[in-house]
Amino acid sequence: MPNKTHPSRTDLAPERENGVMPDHDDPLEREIEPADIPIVGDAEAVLADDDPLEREIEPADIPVVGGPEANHTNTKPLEAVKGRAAAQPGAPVDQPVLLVTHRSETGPVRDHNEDACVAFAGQSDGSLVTMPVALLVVADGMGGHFGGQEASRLAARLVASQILSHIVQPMLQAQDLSAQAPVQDVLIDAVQSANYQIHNPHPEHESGTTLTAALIIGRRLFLAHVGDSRAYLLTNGELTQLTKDHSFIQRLQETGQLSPMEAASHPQRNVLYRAVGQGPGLDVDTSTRQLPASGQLLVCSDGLWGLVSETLIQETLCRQDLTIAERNDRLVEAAIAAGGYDNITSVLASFSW
Amino acid sequence: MSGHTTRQLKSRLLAERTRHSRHAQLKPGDVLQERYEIIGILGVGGFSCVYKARDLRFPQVTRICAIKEMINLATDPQLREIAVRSFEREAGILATLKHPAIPDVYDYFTEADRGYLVLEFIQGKDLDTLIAESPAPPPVETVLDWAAQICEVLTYLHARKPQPVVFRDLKPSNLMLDVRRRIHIIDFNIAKVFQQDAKHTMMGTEGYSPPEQYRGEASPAGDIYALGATLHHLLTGQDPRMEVPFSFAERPIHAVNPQVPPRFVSIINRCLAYDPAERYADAMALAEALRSIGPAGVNGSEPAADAEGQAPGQAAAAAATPTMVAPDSAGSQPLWRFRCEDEVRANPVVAQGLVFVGAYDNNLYALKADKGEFVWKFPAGDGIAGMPEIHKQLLFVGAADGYLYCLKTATGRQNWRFKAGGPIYSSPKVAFDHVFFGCDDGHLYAVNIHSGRLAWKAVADYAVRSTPFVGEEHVFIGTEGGTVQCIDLGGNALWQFQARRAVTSTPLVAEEMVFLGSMDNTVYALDASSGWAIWRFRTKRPVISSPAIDDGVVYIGSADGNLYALDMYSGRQKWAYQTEGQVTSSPAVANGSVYFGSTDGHVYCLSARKGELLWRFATEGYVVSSPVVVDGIVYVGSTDRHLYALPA
Repeated sequence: MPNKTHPSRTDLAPERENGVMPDHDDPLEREIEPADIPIVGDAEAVLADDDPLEREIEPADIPVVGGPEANHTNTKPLEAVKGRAAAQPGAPVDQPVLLVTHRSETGPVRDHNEDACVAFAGQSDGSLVTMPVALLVVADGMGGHFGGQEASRLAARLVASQILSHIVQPMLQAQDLSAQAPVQDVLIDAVQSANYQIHNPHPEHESGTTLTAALIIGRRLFLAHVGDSRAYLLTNGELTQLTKDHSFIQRLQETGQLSPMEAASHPQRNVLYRAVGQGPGLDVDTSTRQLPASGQLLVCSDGLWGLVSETLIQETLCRQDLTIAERNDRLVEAAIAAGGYDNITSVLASFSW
Repeated sequence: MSGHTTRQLKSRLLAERTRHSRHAQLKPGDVLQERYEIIGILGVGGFSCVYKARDLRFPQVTRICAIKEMINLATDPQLREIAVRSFEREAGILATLKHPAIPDVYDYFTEADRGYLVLEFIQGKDLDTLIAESPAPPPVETVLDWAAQICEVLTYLHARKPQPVVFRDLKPSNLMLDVRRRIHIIDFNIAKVFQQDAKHTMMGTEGYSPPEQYRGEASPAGDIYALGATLHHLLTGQDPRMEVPFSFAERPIHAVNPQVPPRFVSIINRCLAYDPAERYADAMALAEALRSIGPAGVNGSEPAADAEGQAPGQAAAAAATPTMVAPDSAGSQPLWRFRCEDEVRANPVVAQGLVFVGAYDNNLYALKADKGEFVWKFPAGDGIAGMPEIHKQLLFVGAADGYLYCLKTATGRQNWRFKAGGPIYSSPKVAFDHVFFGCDDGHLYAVNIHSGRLAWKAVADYAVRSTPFVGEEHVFIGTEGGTVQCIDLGGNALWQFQARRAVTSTPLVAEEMVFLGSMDNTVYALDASSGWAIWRFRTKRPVISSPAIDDGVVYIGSADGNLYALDMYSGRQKWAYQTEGQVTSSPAVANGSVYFGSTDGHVYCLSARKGELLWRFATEGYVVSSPVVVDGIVYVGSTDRHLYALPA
């Protein structure tokens, strides 16, 4: 029995240590050779045409992994997809649509913008077919003397660049995805390295930032989150908050000490118990979910959600007469109209598969 | 609130962690009021500093005192005046207090923008420093003694007339242990006379302060909470300033320090109740409860639980930490047990009122599920390791002799058998009129259930001992070469994931994710459409157990002896339960309970939500078989050759 993809080393990579720069070039990961795609079409008996097994292939389930090799070996299911799409008039045969828009405003009250954001969407077509990808990052900095601005900028930049180089680039280079580090580990490492870079033990330079990163790969959403920026998902007209604020007032509400109404005007509503840059021991919230067939994903700073009600956010996102960029503009303008006491950052993605 | 304040508030937490003052401090040699010569700095707080000083009024002797300096930050003259008055009031209150555990006030004065309080100097070390310096928590007896001492001084404060004095800032750094092992409470910075109708300013240290203090409420019950938080920190070593606020209930003391008597734990949990009304009313009531622990409680023998033993509400939930005493009673009487001729390592299956199980004696047994009476047995040519699959009136099971057998469930008579290219340890799965199973010859087989004829076999490259997961459109298998493969229903490979060692654990697919364990000690979650790893969770030993999922939680065992409960969306551990053997048995979840076996010989039943032991049942062999729970009965095999039916 061949055993070439089975590494002989039995020890595992050391656990990630808090505050230590994570090592993405895990030698153990690299030791594994690109996985063999098993021989396809090795069936020793052919199923009859009416066999139920043959009818179960769905276009949405033909993933693109393992690069072009995989596609070549899997020509059979791909043909099946084309046949099916053609056979069903009216069925959506379009490419998946994934659009991203963003806006960040200082607002009328502050003198500079301590928010930072990254918005990115990638799709391919023609002879190159990869899964659609989108990245939405919002960071809301804190700390005087432009420290907050520096922190949010650094965090957004580091997290986005690590995700691009460890996830998106391998996809474009048709590397074997199954040999890559778990997506969630890449996200956590990216936030941890930003935390490590921003942390400054000198009190006069102390600064921190919130960070909410939403990564869409195919139909799967990954979230990494620290602080009180938020991610919302709009599905079938319903708005759901996907992140939990790491704020004192959020905890006070969870313990039943504060109503949402009291929280909105609480003097400590902006006090966080977790922030990127706080030093060793940062706990990063992560989660994943399968996205619905169509919907919108909003990532925003508290300058938006603190001033614009969820009802208004929901109504705005449901406006069919507006483009995605116009909807996003309306949200930001609503926050400014409500006082714009804080910087306002809003990154919006719209998708349908 | 202006944007500027918002920024300041946000950075306050960061500032407090670093614990440095931005303001110029006095230097050694500086003299205040031509009387107090600064010797050094004792401590630095938010906007204050405590110095060690010598009183020059006594030139013949070295009279040492502590001087607390408060910086008046207010620029508005009116606010400045309020701050000065509040300082003088604090000094006044402090001067009226007479207790050996409270430092005497010698003097107070103001200079420029600062107020000064001259206090009795306590030679010793604060508990915050003490915790930081010692690698392990202090002995339980010591903590209990400190708790009693703190209660005594709090009792004094809470009994002040006309209003009780609320300390409001009880925390390890405000508790000083002197050279005679006596506790003193220092730093009355925000101690305020309790006034029922007044809303106070928000201050206090995040981490030890009660939730209601953030609403502006201060009461003796708040001091009780802070003492509970301090005791929790002392006994667990977990600094609440570094944890999620008000998360004590989620971090039970027993989990890190099993030496603390349960009675002490439940007293602390009651102190930490969210609702002030559920806590001890005042320090006197708490002192009473602490006295009831006595030396016997500390030495391990538990006095009979009284009304105080069960803390109400939130605290009650926290008090129910995994108990060390095994309530063997609940599961101790099996409904029946059936003796096979060899070890029962395989998983039973229940259908049509019968329970079917394979044994190492090469037989597949069919027994009456309610009584355990023998119905039939079928002899294979070699051992049956897999779990039978029932489809309508047919039963499918593989054997080490290389055959997949199709039997009639009612009689055990063979319908057909199919010869694969090697031993079959994988359990078959039926879907779409085909039976799918793996084989040691490195293939996944799809065989028509009616004809027993091969539909196809897919090359897996390595022996397939895991059970295939057959979804709507795909089959997922793990191999001994460590690969996880997604194969379409036509037998075509779609993707492959490579773990570092064998995947014997059966993949489980839920919400477009594939969950599995590997001999590389890791539990993986993969994206079902691409095979990309989503998260991984590392245990200390190989994971042979197959996952079970219920309500967003993945339950899986490891050879490191634990059953783990992991959040399926993040891989984060919710709880772990340690057995005395390896957990290779796969868990079953039913009605809020998790059932599994361990090589320590026990069948375990835990609460699914918290991992608390509900009961365990001792067999005379290893329990590597995975339980199945049907109609309130747990069926499970043991290497003691028995199949057991236990009440769930």
